[in-house]
Amino acid sequence: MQLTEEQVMALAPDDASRKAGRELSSPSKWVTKGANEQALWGECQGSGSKPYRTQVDLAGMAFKCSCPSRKFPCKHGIGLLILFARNAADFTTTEAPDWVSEWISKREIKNTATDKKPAVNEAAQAKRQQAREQSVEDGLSELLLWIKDIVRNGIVGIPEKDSSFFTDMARRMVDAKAPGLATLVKNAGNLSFYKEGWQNEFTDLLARMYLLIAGYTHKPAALTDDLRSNIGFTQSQEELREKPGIKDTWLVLGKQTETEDSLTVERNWLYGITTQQYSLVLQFSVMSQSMVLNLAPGMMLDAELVFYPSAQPLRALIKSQAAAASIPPISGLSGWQQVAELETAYNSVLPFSSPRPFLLQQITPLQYEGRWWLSDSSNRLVQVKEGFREMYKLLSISGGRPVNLAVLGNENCYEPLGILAGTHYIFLSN
Amino acid sequence: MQFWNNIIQTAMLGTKRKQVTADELPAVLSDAVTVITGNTNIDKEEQFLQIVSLAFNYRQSGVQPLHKEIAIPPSPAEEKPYCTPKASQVLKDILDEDADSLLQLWLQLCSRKGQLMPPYLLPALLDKATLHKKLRTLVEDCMGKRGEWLSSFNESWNFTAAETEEDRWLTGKPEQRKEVLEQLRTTNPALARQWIQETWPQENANSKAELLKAFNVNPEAKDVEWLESIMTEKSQKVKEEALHLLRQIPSSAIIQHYWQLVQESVSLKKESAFLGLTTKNILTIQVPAGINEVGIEKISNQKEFTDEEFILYQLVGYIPPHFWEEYFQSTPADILQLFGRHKTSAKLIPAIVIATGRFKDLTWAPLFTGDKDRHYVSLLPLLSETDRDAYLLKNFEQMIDMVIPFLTQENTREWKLPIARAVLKHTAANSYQYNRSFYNRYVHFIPVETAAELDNYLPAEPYQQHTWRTNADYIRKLLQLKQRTIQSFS
Repeated sequence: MQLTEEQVMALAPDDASRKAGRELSSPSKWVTKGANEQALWGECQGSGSKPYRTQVDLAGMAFKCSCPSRKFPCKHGIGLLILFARNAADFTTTEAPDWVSEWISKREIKNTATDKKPAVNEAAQAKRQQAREQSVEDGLSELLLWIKDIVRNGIVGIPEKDSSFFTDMARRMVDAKAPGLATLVKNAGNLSFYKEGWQNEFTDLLARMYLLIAGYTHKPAALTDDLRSNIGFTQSQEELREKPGIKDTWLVLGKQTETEDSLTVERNWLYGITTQQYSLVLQFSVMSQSMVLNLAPGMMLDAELVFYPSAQPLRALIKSQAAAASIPPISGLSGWQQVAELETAYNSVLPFSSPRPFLLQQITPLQYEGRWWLSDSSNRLVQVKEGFREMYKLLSISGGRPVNLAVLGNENCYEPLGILAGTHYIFLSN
Repeated sequence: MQFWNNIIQTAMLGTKRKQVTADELPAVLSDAVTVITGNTNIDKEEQFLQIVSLAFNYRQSGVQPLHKEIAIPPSPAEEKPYCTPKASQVLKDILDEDADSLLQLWLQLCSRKGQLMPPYLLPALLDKATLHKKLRTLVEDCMGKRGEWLSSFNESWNFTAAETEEDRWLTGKPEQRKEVLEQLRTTNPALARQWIQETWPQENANSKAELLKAFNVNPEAKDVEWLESIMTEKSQKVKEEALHLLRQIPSSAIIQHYWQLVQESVSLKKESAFLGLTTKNILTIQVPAGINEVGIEKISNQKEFTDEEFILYQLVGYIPPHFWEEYFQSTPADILQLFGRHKTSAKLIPAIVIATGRFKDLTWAPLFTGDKDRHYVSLLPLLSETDRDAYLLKNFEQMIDMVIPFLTQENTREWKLPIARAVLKHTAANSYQYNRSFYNRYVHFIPVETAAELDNYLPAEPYQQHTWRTNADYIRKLLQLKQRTIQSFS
């Protein structure tokens, strides 16, 4: 898989790694280096007597290095990939040394091995499940009372509330084993109450919470999976992996990372080029542990994705992946009217859906009444999300002419993710 | 979306004060609202929450994009080609490294090659140019039509709009006005003089004194009349600045007056030698008593000078060296030899060096480079590059305090290898004083060939070795960027 330097940079866990990786991207830093179709490897002279052995599985974009760094990928992995991105011809294409081929073989065995599941005590599991359901129901009742209290007194007094008003309820939701609702409560408390329009965002969050509470109480069959996952019930990834997935060439449209209380959440937005299916691949890491997947915007993967059960599937896991052998022609939606119709269809079956990605053709950024808009070829416009930092980059690349644009959002407000020019993808990092 | 505003209004006030009614919502929702409000099993808070949820879903499902014919004029077609992808990547790396000196080099090479920077980096470059004025012209050269077009969307990039020098002079901030004047002094000194004369009556004393400083660039004989006329200004600051300028112009009355005094003090006398067989010229120094000139100290602050000698020393510092050539009808070398023959006159030689620097005399400057006891940094800009480098290398250690500031601030060209090696050897041995920011600022002066030699400058002191190794790694990285920049445009 040949990545651009920009894509390699997007794989780095933080700015320090990016900087250090770039420093190691000089050929003089590498005692040996080599590559074949499967892997990339090199020995980097560090401060110790023996050079660090760095290897990259190009198919799965996985890293291994003998350095003691806890970061993942480490600066050596980043440096080696940058060097490769700059000049792949500098890498001798030979048979991989033993230390590389052993690791690659182990990875292949691991990927194909079926996990042996420990014997399950079904009675105990059912009991635990029942207790969890009860705990969630109790929590939801308390949350409903809390929301009703807010609604009765009016949200006008909310900005003056002490932060404990929200954190106490969020903790209660965690105790009740409803972490999804805890997040919504936290989000409500974290709103910027100095910003115009906070009332809309706050009321939206109240509506979401209420829909989940009411939905969980009434249990509509079509939304059971969505309700459970939004409340915070987890889905067994092993079980999902057993299911058949959707095979396609997937383009990584965007990557967003958020860290809170030592938990890092990575959202990767993918687009199936043939199936025209969008997906969200989530990854979590605690205390800066490494992520399993290394995805960078602009990457093309031949992958099989299994979608989490939902009335409108979006979240997925990658069952298998390899570098894209060839890239089929990429098409996108024709305009905002088509997006509005899709959004309506999503919302008609899933009333608490979250922002979705879309890939559109022929979008022109422009300024109107002091705000930035995205116009399609039929002169239909949506607003650019407030605070989008790369507006001038988008404008400069477009030059006032239409571009194929990936966006993330809903209703009439969207955040540009990247520009697709042929098969070249320019990530508009934010 | 009036219906949503009605919802928010009720949410703000609270259901104990207000309820949403069906007529506040779209007609298509009225049946559902009637069902909700008719449900007596739930309280009015829950009824409101259900109406909010209904309206929330309705709002999300029914959003129509705005339909309006708005167009912005697209960016005109470029007349120059874009730089190569390789050059674009180097530019991005330079920006990431925040290496402004290399950025300037990249822009110079791109401009020289008649190429353009890639559009995706334009916003970053325009931001840089907003912060660093010296980059503006280069950025304008390399930004093309796309850059001009893009700048029209951001007020802070308005420097690219065609603002004339005269506009900046008339409406700019004090430092901008001084800058304009300085710039104009290099290209059209007469116009600079005309501009300042026109606004002179409206300027206050501080502004007058500051603007006059711009006349230190290319002071010329035509300035004299006006400068002498403002010597009658009330402000002491203004008078001092005017005097300072007049003392740099050989035709000014003050310099002519000093010269007259010096001529009265220094004369040539023939003395017989070799028992009267030959004669030789010697200088006689006779300082007239009672000299009381503006700007000349009367009491010596140096023990080797009497008060009279010190007065003469100062006056000689204001005498253009070529005056001596006419006075003695001799060559500069012979005149210098003449001064050196006698102890008293030899003491005046450093004053002649000062005058050489002050009047930028290129003929006299090389004559002083052989002085083993004294080293003159003021001569450096007046020497040819070869002479200058030879002079610097010969006296590097003795002149070190002056060499680095000169090489980094007054020099504009890349250092020759021997000079770069001497500088690196010195800076490596003083790695706490010369840290990463020093190399970041001045890497454009360092030849890329030195990257392979950095280990040779490892200081002997073990405590400095680690710092130097870290610095050397950083210099290598910068030099690599510099090399990639040069290669990208070769």
